[in-house]
Amino acid sequence: MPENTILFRARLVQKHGQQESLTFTTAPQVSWTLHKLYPFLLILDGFLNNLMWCCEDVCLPFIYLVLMILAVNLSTTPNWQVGFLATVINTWFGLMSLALLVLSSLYFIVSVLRELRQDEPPTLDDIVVTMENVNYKLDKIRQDVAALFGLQRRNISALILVSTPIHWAVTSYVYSAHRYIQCWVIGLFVFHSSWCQTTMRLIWRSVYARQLWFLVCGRQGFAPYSASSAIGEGRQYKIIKEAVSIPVSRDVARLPDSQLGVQLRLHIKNSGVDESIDPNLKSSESTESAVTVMITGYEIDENQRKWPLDGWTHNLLPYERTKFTLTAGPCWQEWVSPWEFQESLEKSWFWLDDGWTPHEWKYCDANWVGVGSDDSLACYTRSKCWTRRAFRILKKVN
Amino acid sequence: MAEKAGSRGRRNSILGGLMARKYENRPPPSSEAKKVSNRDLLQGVASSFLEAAYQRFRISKETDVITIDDDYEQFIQTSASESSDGFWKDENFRQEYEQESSATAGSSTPDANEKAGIYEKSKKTARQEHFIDILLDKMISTILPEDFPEREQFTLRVNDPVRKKRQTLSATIFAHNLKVLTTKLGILFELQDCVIRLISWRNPSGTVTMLILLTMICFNPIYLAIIPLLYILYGLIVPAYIHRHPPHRTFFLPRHTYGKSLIVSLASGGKKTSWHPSDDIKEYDYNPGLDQDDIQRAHHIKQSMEFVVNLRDLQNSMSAMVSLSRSMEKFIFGTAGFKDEHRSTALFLAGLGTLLLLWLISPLINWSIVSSVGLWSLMVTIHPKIRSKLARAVKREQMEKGKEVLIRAERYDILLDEPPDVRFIELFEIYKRGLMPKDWTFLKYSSNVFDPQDPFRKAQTPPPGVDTLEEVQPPLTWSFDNNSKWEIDFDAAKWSRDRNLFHDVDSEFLVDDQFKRRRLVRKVLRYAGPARKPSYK
Repeated sequence: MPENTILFRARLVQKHGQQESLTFTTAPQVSWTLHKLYPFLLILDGFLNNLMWCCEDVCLPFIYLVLMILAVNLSTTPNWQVGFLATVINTWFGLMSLALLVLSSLYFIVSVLRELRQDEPPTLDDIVVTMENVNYKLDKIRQDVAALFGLQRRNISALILVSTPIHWAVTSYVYSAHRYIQCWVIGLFVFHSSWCQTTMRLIWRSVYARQLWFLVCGRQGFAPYSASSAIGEGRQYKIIKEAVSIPVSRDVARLPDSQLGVQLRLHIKNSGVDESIDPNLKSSESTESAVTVMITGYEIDENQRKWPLDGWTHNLLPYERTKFTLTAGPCWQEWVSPWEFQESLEKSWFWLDDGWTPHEWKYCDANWVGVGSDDSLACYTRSKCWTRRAFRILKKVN
Repeated sequence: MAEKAGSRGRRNSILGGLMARKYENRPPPSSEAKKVSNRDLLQGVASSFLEAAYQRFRISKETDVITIDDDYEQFIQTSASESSDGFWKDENFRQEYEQESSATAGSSTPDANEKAGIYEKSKKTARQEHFIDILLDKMISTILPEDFPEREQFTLRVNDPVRKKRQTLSATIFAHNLKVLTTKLGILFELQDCVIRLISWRNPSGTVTMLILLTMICFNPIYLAIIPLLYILYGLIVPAYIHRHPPHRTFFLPRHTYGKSLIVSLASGGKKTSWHPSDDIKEYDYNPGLDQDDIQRAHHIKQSMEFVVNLRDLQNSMSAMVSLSRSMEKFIFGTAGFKDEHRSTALFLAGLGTLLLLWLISPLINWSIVSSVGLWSLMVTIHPKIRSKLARAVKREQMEKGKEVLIRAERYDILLDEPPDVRFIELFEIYKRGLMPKDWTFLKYSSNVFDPQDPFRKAQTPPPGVDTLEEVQPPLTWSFDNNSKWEIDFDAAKWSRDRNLFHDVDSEFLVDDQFKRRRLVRKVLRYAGPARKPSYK
């Protein structure tokens, strides 16, 4: 069969650009409004192009940046002691750059309006495409910022509130105000360029850079268990049954705790936890006494990371989950291995299961967000849950 | 002759037309050439080939097999005849030239005859360029196919008015230039040797002088302009004056020199190979006692020897260029091209770190001192004696250990855990209508929709595809996501509308009179696109 020898490769889904024309399906009021909006969209698009350094002539944003820096120089308080000439030159350059900046933006706006008037009016599709373009760029800008700060909308005001005194302190004591503004202007203007974004992504590949980042911002998802809401109020286990009353004979109930635990374990294992034992019914029988126990489950996660040459190993990064953790959602807490932990169980606790039950590996991306149960290119970490149930005698009723 | 010129003119116009049609997409200048049909063109090319071949044959009958010496001599003759502008004539001795020229004009000596013969010969050989040029043109036009992908760019380059003004590509001009350059490249190779001697400490006093000069430049960069001026004044102009007006300060050369310089014996890195400044200034010999012919012959032998040596040096430096370009290519497309992502990332981060560090500390550093100390220490460490000692000090094992640490750092300190590119691939599961209206038999999984406009359907052949989903491969460079399965696209109305297909929709199927199909979609992943490659690979 010749078809079998040649591999059949499926095609990627292409974006079908051919959409139906919007002209006849859109209400005239909407079209009119969009038409009025078009110049603003174009101007905004030009501004965004400069901000993202994605215009045809890349030298222009650079020149604007230099002009801005020169204009910021105007904010220096004239210092006549430095030199009259230097101050005059500085001021002159600043004023000229400011004027050039303002004029060039005005010129751009005027030229857009003029060319629009001279050209034939845009079709609705043109307008929509421009709008999508602007929307896409704005979304990219939002993503860039969000990737760095992980900002939600409500955090922005808090950030402004917190950073204001910092700015004030820096401008008063560390840097002169105009130098500080200059740094910010450069930073903000360059930040959205693809070079800056790529540089940051490459820096992010370095372990040391990540360590530094998490040193400043706190470890990823790390939460001491007292603070972690999901794991619970200082507990390292999940409660399966809050209180189960188990009928036992008097003789058994009188046994010391260690022997009672063994008996109870057999009993619970035989009868099953899920089998609901009605405490009222059982305790009404006078011949037997009852013991109330709490049944819990311990879940310890074993974590691994995929390394390009070594495959899956326990070699984890300093800022992320450790080899064994107690995990609840994104929060985790460093823990010992299950076998080490089983030795250190308190006296009043008894293991219900004979051993630890391993579950399937759960494959996750670089940030421990689950992807699926199979290894693929998108998976960089995986974790396996070891579970074992235990119980504790709460009270004995004779 | 007139006939020849005419045929040549025609050939040129045909060729011009051919070239214009081939690369330039502009109408040929003459209306005559415009009418040239393909057949005429072919005939023209063929006839010009025949003619060129005939001429070549006639000339080769006249000339013997050309040796390098002959070739060189011929070149000397042509260049002598070309440079008849009297540049090399000395105005202080005008009377002698005048005598000489009158003598050659008056008497037809056999020597002069011979010279004239050679000149004639060279003029004839100049005609053989037609053949080579035609061959070259022919080659270019065959190399360049009609659907040349970068044809537009090429046309732009050909049409560039600045380039057009320059000479066209010609094998003879190229060869001529090569010849001229080869005779004159001696100085360049001498310079190259001189630099090697300086760097390898075979001329220690020279090296120290160079270091001192460089230190001066480091402390005051204006010396960068002053030193070349100094060289022009005292290295070129003053020696030329001394040559013409000897100050008569020459002393008798001693037969043997006694004593050694401390600097030279301390710092010598090897035997200073005999170095005489090349005898490129031809002395005008006014000594009537010697046989003029002998001097001339000796001079010629020496020149042709130098020509061969220079040619060899040129070839060697071209080989060096080739290997240099190869290693540059390896760096650009390999180390810096993210072929090995670990290594390229490490390189980038190291570079960025250095950049930031330099930026931060540069105002605090006295760069004059740093660079001059750096230069001196560099030169001292590459001194042959010290280098061997250093190599012994730095053990091989230590080097290997360092390399291992580097590899380990690349392995564990650089994380390649960016989310991969996600795209979707699509397939159409096609069913064929049976005899009954509700009877459908599975036909194929295919990338084609197989609608009535489909070329395969028009040809009444099944579309390219496979019978089971397991046989489907992801596109090149992509791989399937193991955590996703083929999914049915239930919005048949949308995907058919996107493709401008307007048929009946039956739940997830798009149904026409003979076939129905549904769309399957699956996620594919790719960590990175293929690395960049040079255009010629």
